Amino acid sequence: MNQKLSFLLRLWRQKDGNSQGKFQEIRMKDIPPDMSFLEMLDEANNDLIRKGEEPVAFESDCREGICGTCSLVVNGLPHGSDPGTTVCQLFMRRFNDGATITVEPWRAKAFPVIKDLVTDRSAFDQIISAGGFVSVNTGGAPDANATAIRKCDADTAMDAAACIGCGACVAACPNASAMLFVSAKVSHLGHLPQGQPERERRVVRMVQKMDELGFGNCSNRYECEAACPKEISVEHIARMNRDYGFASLLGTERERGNSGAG
Amino acid sequence: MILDSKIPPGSIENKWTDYKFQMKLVNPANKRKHKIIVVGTGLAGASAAASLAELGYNVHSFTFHDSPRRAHSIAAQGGINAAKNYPNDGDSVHRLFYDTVKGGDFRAREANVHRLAEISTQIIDHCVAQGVPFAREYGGLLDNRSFGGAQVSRTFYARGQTGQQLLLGAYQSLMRQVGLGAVKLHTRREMLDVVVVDGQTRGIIVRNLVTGELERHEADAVVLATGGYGRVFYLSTNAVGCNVTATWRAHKRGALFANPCFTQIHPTCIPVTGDHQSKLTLMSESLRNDGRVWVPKTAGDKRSPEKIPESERFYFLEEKYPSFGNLVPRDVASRNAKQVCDQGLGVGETGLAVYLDFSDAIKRLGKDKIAEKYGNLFQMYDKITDENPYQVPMRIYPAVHYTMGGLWVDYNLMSNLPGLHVLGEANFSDHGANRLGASALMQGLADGYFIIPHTIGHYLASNKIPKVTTDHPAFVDAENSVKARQDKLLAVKGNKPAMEFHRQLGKVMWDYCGMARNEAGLKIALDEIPKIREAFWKEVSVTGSGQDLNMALEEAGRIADFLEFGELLVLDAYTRRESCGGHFREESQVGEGEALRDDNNFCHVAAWEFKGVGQKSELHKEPLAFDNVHLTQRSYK
Amino acid sequence: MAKNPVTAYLSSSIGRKQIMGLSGVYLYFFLLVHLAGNIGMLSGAEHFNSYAYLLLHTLKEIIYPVECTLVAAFLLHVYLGIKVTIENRAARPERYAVNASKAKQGPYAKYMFVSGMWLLIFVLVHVPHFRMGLYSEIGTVTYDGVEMRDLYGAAMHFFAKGWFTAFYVISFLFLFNHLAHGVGSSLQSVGLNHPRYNAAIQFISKAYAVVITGGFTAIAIWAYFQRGV
Ligand SMILES: Cc1cc2nc3c(=O)[nH]c(=O)nc-3n(C[C@H](O)[C@H](O)[C@H](O)COP(=O)(O)OP(=O)(O)OC[C@H]3O[C@@H](n4cnc5c(N)ncnc54)[C@H](O)[C@@H]3O)c2cc1C
Ligand code: FES
Repeated sequence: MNQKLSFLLRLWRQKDGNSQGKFQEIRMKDIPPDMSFLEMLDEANNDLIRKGEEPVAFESDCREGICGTCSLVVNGLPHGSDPGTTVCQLFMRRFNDGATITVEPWRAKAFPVIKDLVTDRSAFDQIISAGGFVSVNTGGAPDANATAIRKCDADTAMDAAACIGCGACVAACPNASAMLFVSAKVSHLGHLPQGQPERERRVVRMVQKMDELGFGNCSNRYECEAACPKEISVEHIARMNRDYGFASLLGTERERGNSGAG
Repeated sequence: MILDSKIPPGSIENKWTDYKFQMKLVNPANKRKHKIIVVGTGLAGASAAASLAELGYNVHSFTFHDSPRRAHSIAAQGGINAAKNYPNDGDSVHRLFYDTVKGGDFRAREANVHRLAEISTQIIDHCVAQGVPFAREYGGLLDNRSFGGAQVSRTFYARGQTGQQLLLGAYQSLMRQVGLGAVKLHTRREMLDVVVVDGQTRGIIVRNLVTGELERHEADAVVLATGGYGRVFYLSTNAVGCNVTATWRAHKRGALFANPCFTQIHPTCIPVTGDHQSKLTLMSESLRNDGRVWVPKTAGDKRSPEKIPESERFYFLEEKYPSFGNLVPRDVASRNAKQVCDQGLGVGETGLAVYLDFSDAIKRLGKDKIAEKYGNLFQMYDKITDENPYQVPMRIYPAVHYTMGGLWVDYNLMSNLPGLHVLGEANFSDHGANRLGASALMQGLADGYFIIPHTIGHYLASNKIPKVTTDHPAFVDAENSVKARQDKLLAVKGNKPAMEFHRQLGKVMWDYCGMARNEAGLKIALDEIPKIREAFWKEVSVTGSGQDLNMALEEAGRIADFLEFGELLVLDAYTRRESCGGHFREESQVGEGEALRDDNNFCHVAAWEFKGVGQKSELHKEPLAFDNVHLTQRSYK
Repeated sequence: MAKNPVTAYLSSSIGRKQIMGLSGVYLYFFLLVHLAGNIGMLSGAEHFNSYAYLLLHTLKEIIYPVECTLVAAFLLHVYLGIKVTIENRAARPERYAVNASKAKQGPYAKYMFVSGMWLLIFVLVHVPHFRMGLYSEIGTVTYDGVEMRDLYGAAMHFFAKGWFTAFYVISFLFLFNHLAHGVGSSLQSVGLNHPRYNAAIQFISKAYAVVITGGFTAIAIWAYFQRGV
C-alpha cells in the first residue's frame, strides 16, 4: 500500500480560447497511492513553478465531490473511470504504476476553453436563470408542513436535485447535449407541489434556452448518466421529454415569450 | 472607539419585532435608485442578493467562483436548525436561543441570538416554498434529526447534502432575479479592496479573473458575505478557495475584526494521512446520531476493532457525558478526542484517530436505513480511505472547520464602517466561542433572507448618501494599492510555490493555536508567523502575468493575506487568557480538561483595529451582558 | 417576441427528436406489416402475387394515401436525422484525444448515422426496384384470368444472384443496428421510461429488432437457396 507510484502525465495546455492547444508531458515520481488526483496535479504545478514555468490552470474548490467545480477529462472520461465519482475524489491508487494519464478539458462548443483545463460553464447558469426556480419571494411562505409531500416524491426530487452542475454530462455526450442537467432541474421541481404552478413554463423556457446556447441534441446514448458523478438517471430526461411535449402541444399557459424569466 | 452594538431596547422577545417597526423604510419607487453591492454568493450572499432584488433594489452580485452555485455553503452536509418543534419534544424559540448562547459558551450577544432563533422557523418555510427537498416521513411531513449540544431534534436535512440543497434554493432565487434584470451578476471577480468615501463605504475594487483587469464598482452600500477564514490553518474541511482576503482588506480599510481566535475544530473528520494533503474531509456531525465514538481501553492495543471486546472499549463521550453522550457540542467532543489520543489510546497508523462505530446502529436499524440516512457520507469515506464503513468503524479525528470570528457588526449587521454590512460566516456572528452544529446555515440564511433586507433599508433611508463616481480619488487610490500589491507579488520572482508558505503557516497555526493553546506556544507562533511572511515576500514565485487567468497569482494573493491575518488570530488567542468554547487555553481549565471561562475579565467581544502590517493591532472591547440566560459553567454531563 | 408554442416545438431539440421518434414508430409498424406480407412468399408465387395485387389494386384507395404518409414519415425521419447529426457535430467541434466510453449501452447507438445512411441508400434501391419497377421490367402472370405483376418471379430472379442477396443481408444487419437502438431510443424520446416497465420495454424493443431483421434475412436467404429449385 505504501509503494510509491510514477506516471506520465499528458496535460492539455491552451493559452486562451482563441489559441491552439497542445499536450505537455510531465513525469511524476514518488506519488503515494493515497494522494488524490488533484493533489498530484498540485505537485506537478509546484514543480513547474519551481522551474519558473506557468502552472497548468485547472479548477477545483470543495475537493469532496459536491461543488461541481473540478472538471477534467481523464483518459477520455469526464471525472475519470470510477463510477459516481468526481475527479477531486479520484485517488492515485486507482491507477497502475507507470501509466500514462491524459488530461483534457471539457470539450463542448457551449463550454469554451478559457485557459488550459478551465472552461466557461456559465451557460448552465443561463439555463437556470431561464426558469429553473420556483417564483417565490422571501416572506409570506406558508408553514413548511402545510403541504404534505409523499416521501417517494421528495426522494425522487432529491435524486434529481443532487446534480452538482459540473457539466460532465455535456462533456461525456458525443453531441455535447445538456439534457441530463436540464432534466434534473425540471424533474426536481416537477416532482414537488411547489413546482407545479410553473411546470409548463419552466420546461419550455429552459429547453428553449438550452437550444439557444449551442448544446447538441440528445440521441439517447446515455454517456451522460454513466459519467454523472451523482449518477442521475436518464429517466429524468424521459420525464422532461414528456413534460416538454405536453407543455408545448397541449399546455394551457398562454404567453411563451423568450424575454427573460418570470 | 466606542463600539455601539445598537441593540434595540425592550424585552428580548420583542426587540426584533419592535425594531422592525421602528426602522425607516425606503419608498418602493426609490429602491431601484439604490445600488447595492453584494460580495459572495454563498447562503448569506445569494439569499441577500435575491431578497434585496425582490424588494426592488438595484443589486450587483460578485463572486470569485465561475458560478454562484459553487460557494462553499454547497458543502454543508448535516442540516439546518429551526425551532419548529415538529417532533413535539419540547423545542421552542427560547430553547434554541438558550442552547445557542450556552453552546457558544456565553460569548455571543443575547439579542442577536434570540433574533436568530425567532427567524429560524421562517427559513424552513421559505426554503420549502422554494422547492428544497428536505427529508420527509412517510406521512409526507418533514423529518428531523439531532445535532450536538441539543436534547431536542430540531435539525432539518436533505440527505447528507443540506447545504447544497439550501444553496441551490438561494441560487435559483438569485438566478431568477438575474433573469429579471434585477441583479447584475459578476462571476469570476475577486474583491480586493473596499472603497471608503467621506467615511461611507461606497464601492469595491475587483479583479476580473479571466482578463486580469481591475474594475471599480460604486454603490450606496456594500454587503460582504465572503465566508470564513478556516484555511488560515491550511488543512481544514473548507474548500481550497476559501480565504480571508475580502474581510482582511476591509479590515485594513478600517473595519474591526472581532474574536478571530474563535475557530471551530470539528470532531468528526477523516484523519490526516500524509503531508501531501490539500484539505481534510468532514464526516457530518449527524453521524453522531447513530455512530458511537470509542477507543481501546489500553494504550497500544493494535488489534483490529472488531477483535476488541465491548469490555475493553472506552466509549469516552458516553461515559463522561451521560446526558448528552455522543452528542456533546463540537468543542467538547474534539477536546476529548485529542485527550484520549494524547494518552496514547488513539488508533490507526498515526495514532491520531478514534473510532466512530456504526455496528450497533446497523444491527438495530438495518443497513438500508443507515444507507438512506448517511449513504453519501459512507461512500465519500470509502472513496477517500478505501475502507467500507458498513464493515469497519470509521476512523475520525478533529479538524478545523468553521470560524466564529469575523468582521465586527452591530445589530444591523453593519460594521463600524458605515455602509459596509457583513453577513454569514464572514461576520463575528451569533455563535460566540463555539457554534452548534446546523446553526451556520441557519445564521447565513437568517442574515440574508430576513435581516439585511430590513436593516439595509434603514441605513439607506436614514443617511444622506451623495452621488459618487468611480473617478473619485478614493477609487483611484484603492485601485492603485491593489495594483501595487499585485505587481509586488509578480516582482518577487523567487523559486518557491506559494503553497509551501501556506503549509508552513498552517503548521504553526495548528501546532500552537489549534485545539489547545498556551501562552508559550502562542508566543512562538507570534514569533514565527512574521518570519514566514518575510520569507514569503522574498522567496515566493508567482509566474505568469496579471493580464489573464493566473491562478498562481490569485493563490499567492490570498496566502499573503493569511500571513498577515494569522498573526492577528494568534494575538487574539494570546490576549484572551481564558478558555471558552473552541478557544481552549490550557492555563484555564477545570476538572478533566473542561474549559474554564473568566467572566470577570473576558466577558466581551474582542474587536481589533488594524494599525499596519507587523504593527500591534489595537483592541476594542464590546462588553457582553447576559440578562436572560444565566452565566454558568457549561455542563453536558 | 412571443412564439407560437407549436412552431417553437417543431424547431426545438426535443420536439424534433420526438417527431423523429414518432416517425420511427410509424415505420416500425410498416416493417411489421411488410414482413407479415413477405412471409407469404413461402407459400408460393400465386399466393404472394395475389396478395400484392390485392394491396395495389383492390385496396388502392387505402394503400396509396398510406404510402404517401410512409414516404413523408421516411423523408422527415431522414431529414431530421441528418440535420440533428450536423448540429451535434457542431456542438462538439473538438474531439477528445483519448476515445473512451462509459455507457452501459451496446455499441448500436454509435452507428445510428452510418446505419441510417446505408438504409437510405437501400431504400433508394429497393423501393424503385420492386415497388416502381424502375430498374428492370417486372413481368406479368395471369391467375384465374386476372393479369398481375409477377413480383414473386422478379424477387426469385434477383435473389438468385449472390451479390444481390448479400446486399440485402448487409442492409438487414444495418437495419438491426438501427432498430436495436432506435426502438428504445424513440420510446425514451417521447417520454416512455418508467422503472417498473423499463425491463419489459427493453425486451420488447430488442425482440422486435430481432424478429424484423431475422424475418427479412431469413426470407432473403431462403429465396437465394431457391435458385436451383
Ligand atoms: C464541510 C462543511 C460542512 C458543513 N456543514 C454544515 C452543516 O451541516 N450545518 C451548518 O449549519 N453549517 C455547516 N457548515 C458551515 C456552513 O456551511 C458555512 O458556515 C456557511 O455555509 C457559510 O456561508 P457563507 O454564505 O457565509 O459563505 P460561503 O458559502 O463560504 O460563501 C462565500 C462566498 O464569497 C465569495 N467570496 C469570498 N471571497 C471573495 C472575494 N474576495 N471576492 C469575491 N467573492 C468572494 C465566494 O465566491 C463565495 O461565493 C459546514 C461547513 C463545512 C466546511
Ligand atoms: S472540487 Fe468540488 S466537486 Fe470536485
